[in-house]
Amino acid sequence: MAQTSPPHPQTQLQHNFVLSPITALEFYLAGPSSSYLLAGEDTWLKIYDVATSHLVNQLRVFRSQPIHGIHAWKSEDGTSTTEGAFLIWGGQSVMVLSPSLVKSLIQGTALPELPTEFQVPDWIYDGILFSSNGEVQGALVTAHNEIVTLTLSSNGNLFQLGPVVSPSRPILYSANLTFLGNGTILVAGGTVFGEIIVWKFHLDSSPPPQWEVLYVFTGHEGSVFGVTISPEIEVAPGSKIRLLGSCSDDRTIRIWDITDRQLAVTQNGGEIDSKTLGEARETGFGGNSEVKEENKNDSTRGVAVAMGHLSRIWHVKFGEYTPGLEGPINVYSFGEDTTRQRWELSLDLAGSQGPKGALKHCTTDSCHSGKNIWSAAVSNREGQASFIATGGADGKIVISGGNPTPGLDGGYEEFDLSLAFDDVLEQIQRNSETPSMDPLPKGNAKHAFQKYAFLSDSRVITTTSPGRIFAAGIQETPKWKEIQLPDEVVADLRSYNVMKSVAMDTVVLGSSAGNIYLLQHGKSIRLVGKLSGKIQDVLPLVGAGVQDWQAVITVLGDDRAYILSYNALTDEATIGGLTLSLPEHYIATAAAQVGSTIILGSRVGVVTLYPPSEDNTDTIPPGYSCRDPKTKDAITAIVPLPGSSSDFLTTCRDGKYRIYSLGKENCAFTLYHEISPPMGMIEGAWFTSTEKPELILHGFKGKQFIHYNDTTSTVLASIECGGAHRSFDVISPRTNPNAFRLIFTKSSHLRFYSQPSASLRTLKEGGHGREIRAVACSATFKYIATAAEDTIIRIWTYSPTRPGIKCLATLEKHSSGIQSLQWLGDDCLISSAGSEELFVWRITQIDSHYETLAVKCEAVWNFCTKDKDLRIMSFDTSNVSSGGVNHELAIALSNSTVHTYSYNPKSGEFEFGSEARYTGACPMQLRYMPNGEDIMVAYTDGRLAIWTRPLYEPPPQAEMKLANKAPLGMGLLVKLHQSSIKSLDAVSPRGGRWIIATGGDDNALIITELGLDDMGKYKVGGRYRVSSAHGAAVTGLRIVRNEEDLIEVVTVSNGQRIKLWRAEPGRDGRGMRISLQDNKYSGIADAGDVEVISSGKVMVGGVGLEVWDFNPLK
Amino acid sequence: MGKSSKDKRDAYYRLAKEQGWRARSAFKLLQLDEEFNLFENVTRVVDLCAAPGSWSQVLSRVLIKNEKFGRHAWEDREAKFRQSMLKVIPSESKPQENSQQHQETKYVEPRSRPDVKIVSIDLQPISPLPGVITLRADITHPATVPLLLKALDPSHDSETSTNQQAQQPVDLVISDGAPDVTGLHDLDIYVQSQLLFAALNLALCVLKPGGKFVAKIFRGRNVDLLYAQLKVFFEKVNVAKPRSSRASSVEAFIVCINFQPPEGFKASLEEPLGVGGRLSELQQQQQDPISQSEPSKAGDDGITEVILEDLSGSDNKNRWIAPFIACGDLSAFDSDASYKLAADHVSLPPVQPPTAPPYKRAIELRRQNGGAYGKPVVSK
Ligand SMILES: C[S@@+](CC[C@H](N)C(=O)[O-])C[C@H]1O[C@@H](n2cnc3c(N)ncnc32)[C@H](O)[C@@H]1O
Repeated sequence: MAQTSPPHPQTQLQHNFVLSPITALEFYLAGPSSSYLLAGEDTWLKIYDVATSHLVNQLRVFRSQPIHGIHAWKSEDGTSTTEGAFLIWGGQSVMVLSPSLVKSLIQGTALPELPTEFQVPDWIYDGILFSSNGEVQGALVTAHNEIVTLTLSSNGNLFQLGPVVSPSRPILYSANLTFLGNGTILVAGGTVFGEIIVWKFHLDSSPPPQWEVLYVFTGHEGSVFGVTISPEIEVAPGSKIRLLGSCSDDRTIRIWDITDRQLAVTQNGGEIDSKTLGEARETGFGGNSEVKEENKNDSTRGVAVAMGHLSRIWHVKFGEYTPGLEGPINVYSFGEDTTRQRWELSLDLAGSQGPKGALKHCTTDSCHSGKNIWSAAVSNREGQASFIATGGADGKIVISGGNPTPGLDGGYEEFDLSLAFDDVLEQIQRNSETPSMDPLPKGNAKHAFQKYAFLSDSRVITTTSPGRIFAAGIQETPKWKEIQLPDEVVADLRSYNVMKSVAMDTVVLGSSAGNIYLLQHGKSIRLVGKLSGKIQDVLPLVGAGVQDWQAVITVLGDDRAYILSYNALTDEATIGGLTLSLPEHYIATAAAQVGSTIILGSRVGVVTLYPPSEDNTDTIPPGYSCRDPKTKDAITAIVPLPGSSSDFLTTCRDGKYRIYSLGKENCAFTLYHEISPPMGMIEGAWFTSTEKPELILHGFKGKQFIHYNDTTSTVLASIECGGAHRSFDVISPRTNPNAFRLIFTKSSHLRFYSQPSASLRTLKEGGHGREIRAVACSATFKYIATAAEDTIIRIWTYSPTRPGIKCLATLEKHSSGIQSLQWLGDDCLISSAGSEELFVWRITQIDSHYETLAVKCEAVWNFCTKDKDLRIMSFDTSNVSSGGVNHELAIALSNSTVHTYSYNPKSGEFEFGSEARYTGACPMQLRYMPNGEDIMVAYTDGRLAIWTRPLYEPPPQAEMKLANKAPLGMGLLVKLHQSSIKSLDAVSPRGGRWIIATGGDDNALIITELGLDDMGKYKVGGRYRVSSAHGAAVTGLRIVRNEEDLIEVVTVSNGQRIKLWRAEPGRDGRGMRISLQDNKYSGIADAGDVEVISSGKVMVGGVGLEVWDFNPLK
Repeated sequence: MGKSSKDKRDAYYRLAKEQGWRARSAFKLLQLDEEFNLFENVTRVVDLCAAPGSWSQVLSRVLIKNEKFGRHAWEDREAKFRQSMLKVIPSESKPQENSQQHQETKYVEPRSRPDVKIVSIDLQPISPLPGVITLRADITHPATVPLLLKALDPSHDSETSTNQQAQQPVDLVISDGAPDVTGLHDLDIYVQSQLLFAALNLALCVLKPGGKFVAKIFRGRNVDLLYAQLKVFFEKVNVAKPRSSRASSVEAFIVCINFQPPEGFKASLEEPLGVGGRLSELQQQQQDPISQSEPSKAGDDGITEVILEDLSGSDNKNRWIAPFIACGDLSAFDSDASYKLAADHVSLPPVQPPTAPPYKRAIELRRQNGGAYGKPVVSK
């Protein structure tokens, strides 16, 4: 290392991108037609246009504090053109964005200087702005039930904080403020011990400040995590009530009456009753610490209680209601279980005890992945439907509600009908002009709906047990008519029939007598053929053609399937020109044509090819047939991939969909992709005909019917239908899957559901819903994989332009938290987790218009112990010794052992090599040394060991294999950290030297030099420590620069700092100099890993993820 | 997860049951004591956030029953054997020296300590323990100060006395308080720091000069601000991680030695520390700013301590990182490792059932209703 080289410029870290929990949301209704959603993501304020989902602007508000709340205020008396002001807080920080700043933010013009960040003496739970005496003022409520007032300067900037006022100082878990007018603020606080304190604060009183405790509510049995004060609700002309909503650790939601019925406001507040506070007494759970005598009866003001959610409830909010209380009041709750639930509160105002009521549970929407909805907002503007927005720990924002936006919906109506057979009959009789058939008698309990089919977006048809066919045209609501059928057809279709929609305005029917009918809209039904037995099914041949369509017809007990072909030109349908010979006991359940190959799927999961016959015979024998070994459930659909003549997708009742590719000459196919979307049984799939096709699936999940966009991972509709195994049909416009209709039978009624747009819309995409534990980048920086406590692996690409990162695939197979990830090249990924799981994934890019990554699990490590309860903490691979054919794999298990295997990617098999057993301490990090044999392992006891081949000679006759099985020997053991080594990176030898950087639970960064002695044994050159490198454990570390005379290391820590270090030889060529090049706040709590994702960029993963640039200081 | 599966995954959980401790936390206190001799010359102790009471058990057994607990209580024999086999210990430190040091540090206590006083406080009730006064109270509540003073000194009268300083101060205040974490990291860290300040406020009222204070801390964002604030009151502040505390947890313990209240300082419940500006005022008054380069304990292990050049220009005002000390020696069971259980292993029931969570009723109701909350309701 030369001393004379020119000095390197300092290296600097620069924030580039963050995806982290959404911790604050607020609607800003700027004008009658412009609504914005304000979101807090880490230190950033992000402004979205509600109508278009576009990110309008973003602003970094605080230096090192996530935003926890936003209050958008707009002068009530002002005209709609004046902008409002935003009050933003987080932790102890607070900032006001003045109207002029808000204006430039919304318009995207150059921003004036950022206002000052003020510090409040305590944690802030809520804040408001209001105008009082013509001046804009503000107030904050803190975690100790204190009010801090804010004074604004004339240009709307925060100017000064007022004194702190409180009637008593319990620790709160939630608080809410409302301005009552007349210089009065209403405060509600929820305590750790389940109490709720409601008090009033009088602003304008001359010092000392005046306050008054109104109520102390007891009833919750756990910490109160959310309180919300309703607006004044008009229940009758001139009569108003005000409610308080609360939610708690005890899983209940409670509504309280806080209507102020005292006419005169008593101005009696004043001093803290120091005697009561100073008395020696027991407090805590059950102690009702704050309840004084006069508040003993407050809890009779409880209006309603309901229990909901699977875990803790974080927020409760009031939604829309009809003034005069003609309908219920909507209440929303948001929980740790990532659901948003809607409740209807109905009130009875007649009683003498004040209003009493009931909360009725209406809907549960699961909006986010992982755990926790951290923020929620409900817009409340009279005469308009509320918007409801949620922000998750996953960084996603989901929105719903509002009045439908014209143009965005798919032209479908909104209805949900449930009709008895007689209801439909009655409509038919009302609507019919000149019936030529006998009207069906009403009141026959045996009459039932049988099959359903959509003829088009606006026309649906159903067969019935009496053999009659009803059709409905949909204008606003369905209008039922009966289709005129000859008597013999009615008799033929009676009690049994099959019906499928095969093309626009066209269905095919089959009867038990073997007759096949064609029914086209506007035409009479016609018989197109007769087969030898009961028609089992009609399977549209997907991909065969739109005008000239085909269908496969199966007959009970027949070993052949028949092809029905329609010629649009001649308007002729013919059967039997071509037949498919079926394998034994084969029941076909799906059919498609890919290129010129027909593919069938069976009831037990077999996929069978029928390549075009060469000798022009009429009967094609089955070609290659294959069943996924893990399934025996029916294939429900086969769909060719758009723009591909060889790839196709199958859906299966086992809840998975798979993508296969036909091999050369169409004589076989291989699996590329296997995924379980969040539904139990997939019943069908299609691709949108948009510029970028999206994959839409439908199926059942428990009692729900799910309509799902797999490309965006969004549930488009979830309808309670009673469970699988029922007749149904669905339709969506091909370009807009958000519009959706479903018709099905439920308890002998016909249910007909229609939605113009999805109930939930993703405003901003998210990521993992739990802490990321590993980040790994593929060999050429093509893909980034992240893995988290939520057991999910995500594969991303990064682009320097917005939106920064894009998720290409989510891999769900692990059953416990993932510990470690590593790529082999760009197309193979290995992951390890608790429960002794280690999977090898194969990643392929599919050649189709449908942009997706195909992913399948290629191999599963299966040397598990009986209980499968060890964690695979870390692993590494090497292909040095096998000459690149097999991979050597070394894994570190939580029982203090390291195992080596040889992995054969062709067969997907592992062969055990040898074992190394340490003292009992848990291994944390593992790396192969560059020779591909020796293994470096770091342990919880702070030591680093190098395990080598045992040094004994194998007996002359023994095979190499046997020698292999001997336990590994310890080549080196060196103490580095005081306790657990949490992060490690190493760079390759230079002149027989290695440099190892480690980060410990002991806050230290240690650089170790390693070399070989004359005997070829490992030897420590030097150990250099920065003791208090971070304020907390150093949980992620990466060597980002490795040059002749220096290395640079990026470290991250639980202390939420990202640091860049430089290590270079000491001034006199001895020892080592370490300098801290940069030190920045990182928004990622509980950081788990840091990885280089392209030149000059690192990604940090933890609670969310961040991208940082590192560059020479200019 | 089966019962013995937890025994396997968590050696201290198993040991606690075998040795009769109410919680595995007992080992954290024992291991802290091994490193810092916490109980040396100690007769009066306050144990805050003490339920279910394993720390109080330790106090009761050590101070009253005069029992001694050493590393044999948590030693993994096999680890010890493997360590000597793998030469983990001899390669670095001389074992003789080690044991000698060990003996030296084992001070000799009189057979029975006179006038032992142990007061334990928690929100949750603590089952009685010999010689321990247990109180149910919220340590963040102002009323807890007089309650504690009265328990320490029955003649204390909160009605008449405006003094919030204990007449007969204590030697040691320990606090293992932790909130139910929400998962919102900065909120959890804040709530934890409030518990720490509440414990410190109580300690400032009852601790005698020279006394010790030990409390749980979350090592997360801005923990260095907290360290610096504690340093205002104590000569030595270390952050310690016992081997029985999981490496994967943010938990650690702040060990503050030699209580030296700043000149003229009076603990006050009207002006508690932790909120408001009182602490930072005290920090400003402090004579010498604390320097980061305090020699660390591990300085003699052959690793070169680097003199760091800080070019980052970051503002470290009011920040200080307390030296880290791992405790519980190397042969201690590893709380992160999985252990093999003997073939005839019988999983013992816990010494005390855990306290009922507030959502207990919700779980019961769910069970009654067969899994869901009431009948499912049709959406829309
Ligand atoms: C980890 S446990 C303590 C275990 C205890 N050291 C032992 O060894 O058994 C934490 C305790 O803190 C208590 N705690 C939390 N907040 C408290 C508060 N504000 N006042 C008193 N105790 C509190 C909880 O009730 C809980 O029992």
